[in-house]
Amino acid sequence: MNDQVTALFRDRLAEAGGLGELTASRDEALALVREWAGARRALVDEHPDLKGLEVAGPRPADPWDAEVGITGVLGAAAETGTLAIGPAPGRPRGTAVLPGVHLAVVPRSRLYAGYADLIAALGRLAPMPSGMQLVTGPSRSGDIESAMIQGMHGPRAVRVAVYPDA
Amino acid sequence: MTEQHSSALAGRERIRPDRPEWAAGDIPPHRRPLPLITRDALTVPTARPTHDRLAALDEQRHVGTWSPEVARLRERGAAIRRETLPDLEKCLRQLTGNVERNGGVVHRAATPADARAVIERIARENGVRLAVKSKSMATEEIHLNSHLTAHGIEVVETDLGEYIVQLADERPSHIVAPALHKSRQDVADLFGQLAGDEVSGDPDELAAFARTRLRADFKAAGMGISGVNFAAADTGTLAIVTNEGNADMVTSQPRIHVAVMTVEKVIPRFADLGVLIPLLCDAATKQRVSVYQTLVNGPRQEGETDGPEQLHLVILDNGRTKALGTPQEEVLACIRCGNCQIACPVYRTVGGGHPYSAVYGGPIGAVLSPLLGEPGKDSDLPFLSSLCGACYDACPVKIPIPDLLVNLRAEHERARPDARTARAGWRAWSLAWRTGTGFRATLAAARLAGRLLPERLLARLPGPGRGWAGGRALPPLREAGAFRRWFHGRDRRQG
Repeated sequence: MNDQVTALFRDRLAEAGGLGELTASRDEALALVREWAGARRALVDEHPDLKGLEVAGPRPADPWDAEVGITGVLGAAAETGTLAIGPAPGRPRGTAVLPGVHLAVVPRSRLYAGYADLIAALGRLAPMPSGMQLVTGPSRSGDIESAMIQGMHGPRAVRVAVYPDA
Repeated sequence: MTEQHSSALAGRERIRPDRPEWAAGDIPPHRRPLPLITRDALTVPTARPTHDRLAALDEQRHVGTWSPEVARLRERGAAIRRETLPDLEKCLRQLTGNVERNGGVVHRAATPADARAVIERIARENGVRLAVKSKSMATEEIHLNSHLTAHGIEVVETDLGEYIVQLADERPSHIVAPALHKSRQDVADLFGQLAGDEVSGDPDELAAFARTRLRADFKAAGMGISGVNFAAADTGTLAIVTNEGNADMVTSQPRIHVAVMTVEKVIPRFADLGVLIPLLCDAATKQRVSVYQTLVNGPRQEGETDGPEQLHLVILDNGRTKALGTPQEEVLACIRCGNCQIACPVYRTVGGGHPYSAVYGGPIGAVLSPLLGEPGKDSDLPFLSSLCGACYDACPVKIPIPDLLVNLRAEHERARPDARTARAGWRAWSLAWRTGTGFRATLAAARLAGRLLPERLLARLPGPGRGWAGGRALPPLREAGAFRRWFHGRDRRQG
């Protein structure tokens, strides 16, 4: 799979300091996520796109102790390399924020070309989730002499596997 | 749930505050005249390096120029931001209705005191001892931290720059980069005092120091306080933009979330976020979008394991709606990117926003601050500008800041107690200079005054006159008409 939109997503996510991989199938995407997660303590969202994912590491009792958080997405935007994540039962807000590493899978059908397209798609969700987190690469700060610091309060690494669907 | 004391602020008593009075977290109620403060500001050691950092940012980002794509966003953004102004109240009612439908509680606050009281009551009723805050200029405006602290509630700023200025007992010196006036060594010294130990000046290590301490507070806090960048009236969505991820923490982990916005943050439609967020991020930090946009629709739903149990939205007016229907209402289009501050030669020269002695410094502060608080306060701020127009070029929503500054100067002059005398003086001058004879006579008079009056006259004024004269300079009166004399002499010399 290597159309223009997915390639743009990968490039723009890389610009923001993240990593995007274009895979051939959902199984391949899940295998990649499993490999990225390794044996670290991981939170895995109950998301249909992650169904069947088994990671080697233990699930921590306290989400604050997790090293890796794995999520699906409501959608993504190629123009900016942005992921949109929404909470639901089994999908706490903390998964994408508390651990040092955030891994996600994105089906091609929910990857939009423009950022405004993603926003428009989120606006059409009915009902809207109680919150939405839009994430573009790893957490950063420029508050000390404008020097770029990667990994402030959120994850210091963001990796995304995109797969074709339908 | 047990709430302990803040870990991030532990050791704060070891910090020796080292800042001028006008940089303090709480602005002194009776500030000295602006010319005195700005004169001092030039002598503060941080002024020059801050100027250089701001000038470098201005150059790197080509502030005042826009790529073709962003120029299109700018046109649309400028229009969207003015759509709400003809009937702001209707938009706020729609927003309120939707936030309530989503399960949130909306509080309207006319004054800072009202807003403080509401937030303190929410904290008290829920037994909150520790609150974590993500960056919010609205809470700066209501001086929330000192109010809650006085009522026994610890408040911790979690944005790295805000955390630094909180520890130093200062105000943010820039809207989006609050600690822009501090060098890495300043920060290392500050953290070193806090820890009672040596701390390295490496930005990554400084960030790691802050991260570890703040993480404990995110986990322990009973209340999260955030600002709001945009509030969509049609869905009741509150959008908060950060790079660090602290808004995601603050709005998801504590059991109560209080969002504080000022009235003009309301936007018509959720879909407008697709224009306004990239526009804000380009202007503020030259990013396509920031790392995080946190969109809050309501408290946690049944079956969810995190997210706040209660969502409160405080909507603050503080004088803004008085500007509606006047030319000054344009200032309510502002999206707080801080770009006009970076562009402003006066702001850069005085070393950032502190010498403005108001919550908001720089060009936008000079037009916004006089609207807020009691009438007449900060009415002299519009004079801290050269009217060069760089702020207009830098504005993502095309606010005619120079025009607004001129309007406010005129208002300030009209409100002077001696306005009538001053007007008569200007009128006499204007009459005198309408004829060549009158013009030449004033030059002669100025030269005479220059010879008769003692040198350094201003420095010798007695009593309050001396205070007024500080930071002012008299032009060299003896030189009056020197150009004309040279010019005519040249004619004669060339024969």
